[in-house]
Amino acid sequence: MEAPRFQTVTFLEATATVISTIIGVGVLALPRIAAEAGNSGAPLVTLLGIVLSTVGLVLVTALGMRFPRQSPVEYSERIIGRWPARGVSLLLVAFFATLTGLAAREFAEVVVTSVLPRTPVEVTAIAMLALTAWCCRANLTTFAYAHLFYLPFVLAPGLVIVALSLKNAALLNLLPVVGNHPDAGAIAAGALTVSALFQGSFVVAMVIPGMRRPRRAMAASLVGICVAGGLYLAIVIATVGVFGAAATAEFLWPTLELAKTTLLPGEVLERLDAAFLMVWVTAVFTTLYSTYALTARALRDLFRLGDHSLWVTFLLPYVFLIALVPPDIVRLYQVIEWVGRFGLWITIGYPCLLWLVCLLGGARGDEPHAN
Amino acid sequence: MRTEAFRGLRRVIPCLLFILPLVTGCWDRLEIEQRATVLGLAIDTESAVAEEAPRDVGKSPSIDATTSSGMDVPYGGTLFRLTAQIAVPGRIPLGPGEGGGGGGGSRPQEAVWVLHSAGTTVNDALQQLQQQVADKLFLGHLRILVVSEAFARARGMQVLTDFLVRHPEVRRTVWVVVSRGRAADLMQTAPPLERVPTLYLMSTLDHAKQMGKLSNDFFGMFASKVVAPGRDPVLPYVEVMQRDNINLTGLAFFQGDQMVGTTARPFDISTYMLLTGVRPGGYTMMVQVPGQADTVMWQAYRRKQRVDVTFANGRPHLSVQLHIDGNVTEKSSDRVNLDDAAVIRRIDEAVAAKTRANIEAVLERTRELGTDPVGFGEYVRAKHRRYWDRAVKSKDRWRDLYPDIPVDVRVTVTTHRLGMKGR
Repeated sequence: MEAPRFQTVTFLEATATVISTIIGVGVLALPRIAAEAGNSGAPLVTLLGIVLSTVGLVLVTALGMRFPRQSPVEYSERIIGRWPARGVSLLLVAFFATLTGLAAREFAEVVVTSVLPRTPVEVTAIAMLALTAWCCRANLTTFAYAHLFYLPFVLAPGLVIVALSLKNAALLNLLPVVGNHPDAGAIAAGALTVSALFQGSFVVAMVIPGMRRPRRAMAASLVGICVAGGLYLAIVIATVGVFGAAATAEFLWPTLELAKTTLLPGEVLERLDAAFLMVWVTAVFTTLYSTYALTARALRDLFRLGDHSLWVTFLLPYVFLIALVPPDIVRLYQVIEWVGRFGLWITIGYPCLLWLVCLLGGARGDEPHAN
Repeated sequence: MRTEAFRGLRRVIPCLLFILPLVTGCWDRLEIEQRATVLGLAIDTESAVAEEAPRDVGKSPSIDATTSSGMDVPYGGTLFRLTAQIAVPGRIPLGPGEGGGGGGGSRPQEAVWVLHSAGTTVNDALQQLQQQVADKLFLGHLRILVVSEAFARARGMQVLTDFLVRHPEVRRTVWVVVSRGRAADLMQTAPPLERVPTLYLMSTLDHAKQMGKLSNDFFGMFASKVVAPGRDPVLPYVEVMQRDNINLTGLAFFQGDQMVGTTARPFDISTYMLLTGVRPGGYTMMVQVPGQADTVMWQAYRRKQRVDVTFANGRPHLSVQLHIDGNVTEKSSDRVNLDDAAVIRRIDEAVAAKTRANIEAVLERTRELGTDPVGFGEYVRAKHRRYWDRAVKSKDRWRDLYPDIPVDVRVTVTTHRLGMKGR
């Protein structure tokens, strides 16, 4: 339950929160995931993933609007009963803590591979997590405002890279639309993995109780996922268009390769990867910020505490440990894929179940008081 | 008020003490003068080096069978010779105003330092090079990589492509060229136009690209084409002229990463660019005016290409439609009357006929070599998925099929202008 004095989140802030939470560390590997699943059909795989995530997000938002002043931990108890709901909520906490840890690790791996080869991975990960934890102590008003503030830095690098590299793209690389040797199984699996990159959008469930007008949450969610999904789709199209599907699947982080290949007009900057990475740190931070805050707040609601900042501090060592678990980059990506797919049960499957029970049982939250 | 601020500060300071030492980036601190900036690399087969003793390039290290990684029986290939051009920090003039007087920047040879090493892989050779150099080798400014034709034919580019794609410092926009003779010679050229030799080599290629005389086949493009299912890559093919400059001789054709041949002459670069749909055209061709012994020089400035795939009896049939816009830039005799529209039309036809002949010659060569540099296979893969998935499937199979697929070429030409002369 959010204190009434923090119920200040506007439509724009909610939208920005959804966008900057979705756009995060996954954008670097996304074209590879899509190209591996569907070769030249990579944009199709991405689009399917976006559609699936949109379904989940719409359900989460609809639930939030039905219980406009309650958090998911609270309303799920009302819908399916206290103990089953608490069990799933604990899973939700564990999932988002893991997601935070893995995202911090993936970020640290990118940094150590591409720019700071001698800086220990642990240091980069803990620096990022400590910064996130520190910021997470803030209230919901600050949280939403921070997302709005960072939005331009989150969107800019992707948009610039796409705009500058599209002139090198060849339409031929994007055909056939369904890919060669299309395999429905592989495409579906790829779409699930892509959809897992959008799970941060669950944060809207945390934001709705703080919204000034929760009725506008649906619009915020839809605009948010359209913008973030549109950018992701554009990045996949640009990457596959420029390199071709076969080469895209060979790079570990094709989006970074795109930044490397792109020249600023007039060749002022001959490679954009350093600039891209600098700004991209912001996008990683906003994602970590959301998933970390979501974890801490879910714990607060689960244990009926008034303040979440206690949990923020206690969580840090656990999240950091999770970040250190995968022993190498190959298994890191395996774990990310596995955790991400599992998470779909929580971020899409569970809301679906809650919604069905709601429809059958007619559970409904308190009406939000006007104004 | 004050105590509250203090309390805030008391909370912030431990955090700062914890975070600040971690974010200074001291692990990777590397001052610019502590880097050995590699500007160019050349790769030769060991036999090519043995034939000719190295010239005045300083003492070269003895190369024995043991490489720096401690392997005496190199698997997957033989030892090759790596030549590196390293920037000498103080000697490279920074702006146009510098150089000439003082600093020794006026002599191109002095701005760089040329070193040799050997290895079985690029990393291996670089490691041996590092043993000879005090500062850490830095590849972020690597601008050109020269591979000798002997190496490209014998070993292929795989060892190089893997290294370049994997290495985070290397730019994707680096030029990789194949040299006719020893690649090391290109590292030792000392052109008077540019104060850093590799930068001269690089601008030779960059400017050729801007003038429409070279396709944009830099390393990143090569790496993409190597793995693309329906096409093979090309690289610029150069040779050293009189020690100081390079001559853009043509294109090197590859089968995957293995070099298999070259274009017959420099003009074939233009034909290749025409076929691949590069719009600006920069080459001038000489055509005989039909019915006369005289010739005109004709320069293309804009080109358009369209490739269609049709099927007859279940077999693909390629048709290429081309349109070229250009100008007459010179005539050999006053007997040619350019003021006559009929003559212009005849010139158009002659240009079209000659272009068609050029295209046929280039295509015939690619068929003989069993390589598809134009990427006709990509058209089939992209636009006729069912046929590709059923009958072609792989790059090797496409290379088998390609030589037998008929290609129709239709060329239309329009002459637009005659320059500043009226007739």
